Amino acid sequence: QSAEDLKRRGLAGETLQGFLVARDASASARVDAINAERRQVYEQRAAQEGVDVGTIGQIYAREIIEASPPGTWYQSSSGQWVQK
Amino acid sequence: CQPRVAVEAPKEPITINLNIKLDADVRLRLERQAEEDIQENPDIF
Amino acid sequence: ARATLDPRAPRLRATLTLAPLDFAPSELQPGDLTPLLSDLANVSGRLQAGVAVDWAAGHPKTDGRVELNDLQFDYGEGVRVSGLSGLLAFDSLWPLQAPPPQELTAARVEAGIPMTELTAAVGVTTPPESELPRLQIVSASAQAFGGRLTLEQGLIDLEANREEAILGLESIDVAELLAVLDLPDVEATGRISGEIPLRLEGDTVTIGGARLAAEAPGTLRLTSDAAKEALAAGGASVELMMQALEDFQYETLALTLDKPAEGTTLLTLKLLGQNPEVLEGQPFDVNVRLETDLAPLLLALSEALALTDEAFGRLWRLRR
Repeated sequence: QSAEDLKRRGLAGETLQGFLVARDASASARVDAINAERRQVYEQRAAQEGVDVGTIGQIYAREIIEASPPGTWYQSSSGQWVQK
Repeated sequence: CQPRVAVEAPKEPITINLNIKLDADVRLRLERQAEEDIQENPDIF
Repeated sequence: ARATLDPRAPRLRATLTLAPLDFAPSELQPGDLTPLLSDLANVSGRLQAGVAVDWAAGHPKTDGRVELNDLQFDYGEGVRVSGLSGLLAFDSLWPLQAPPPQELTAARVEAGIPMTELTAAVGVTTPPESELPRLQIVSASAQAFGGRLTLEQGLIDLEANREEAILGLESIDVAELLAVLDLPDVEATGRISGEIPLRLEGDTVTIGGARLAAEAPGTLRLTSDAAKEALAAGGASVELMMQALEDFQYETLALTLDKPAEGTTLLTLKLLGQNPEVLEGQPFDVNVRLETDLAPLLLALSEALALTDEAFGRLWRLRR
């Protein structure tokens, strides 16, 4: 399934570092695969802009959460899970 | 001839304080890039 | 192997000494022994290990010794180590514990930066609740860039995916350093010293108050048109300064860098000096304060640190 499916069904949530976190064990394999692809995009952008990967992840995180469907779970900066 | 002795007063340094804020354009570009990547790869974002 | 059973007290002591392993390219390689070490290539040198097991009152106490003798290997694309020697004495194998200081030396390490005459006092500890060991680098030092790099309070914590250390620079040749960083439009000479407290958590680099200063006068050549354009609005004195900086003889140079995990990175530069061609050597006292909430210059740094994390992560990944 796509990241959006997982988020819509609450099986995975977003973090402020720009990666998915499984909220149900059944999704963890798919989440790992998605995060691996995301990491590739982040590393590529980081190299292009000469910026550290962590910062790229943080910028993408905001855009991802904004673009996520309503009801998506994401981790607030204090670490609690919040629902959009 | 008259030896010319030029005593130069030690020059006071010109003090320059520069405050530079750098990033506005880079951040904007990255945010637009993020939006683009998200739309182009709906499967992983 | 030798085992003795003490009839009076139910106790078994066994010591197993491995015959020395001589690695050589196209012959024995560590990857043949364990997949954990398959990332080490072109390995040569000798390794000798011994394990002692002592069953007393039901629970086995294991300790071990690993002796490295002039080991040489390549790791990943960029790292080459040669002349690695030392003795690691583990007072427990499960969980892995080798209390510091365990002395290691290496003749040369190439990791983007050529370093020679390395010495390190390390320790391996596995905290109770954690499965992966932590590598402590109590202190380390190496010759580099015509000066010395030191490392204090180093910690590679695989469980928490976190690394930190205080990197020390001692009379580092600025020209050699810039050659490796290859920053465009900047040339400099002189020697700098100072320290850079570093931390890498996941992908995020944090610098907690780096302080660097030149030990003696030197030269700085900044010929970046981009900088000139960006500062064009700064007025006549700024323009004069930029002209002076094209061939600046500095008396003092001091740099600070603070980069939190998130938010604004602050770089400050203090320069006192002059350019003989500008206003007959008019001295300039320059204070630059640069703020950015991105971390442009840290990409190379985080990659170097990530390399060590990944390197040790693979070497020590215990099967869950």
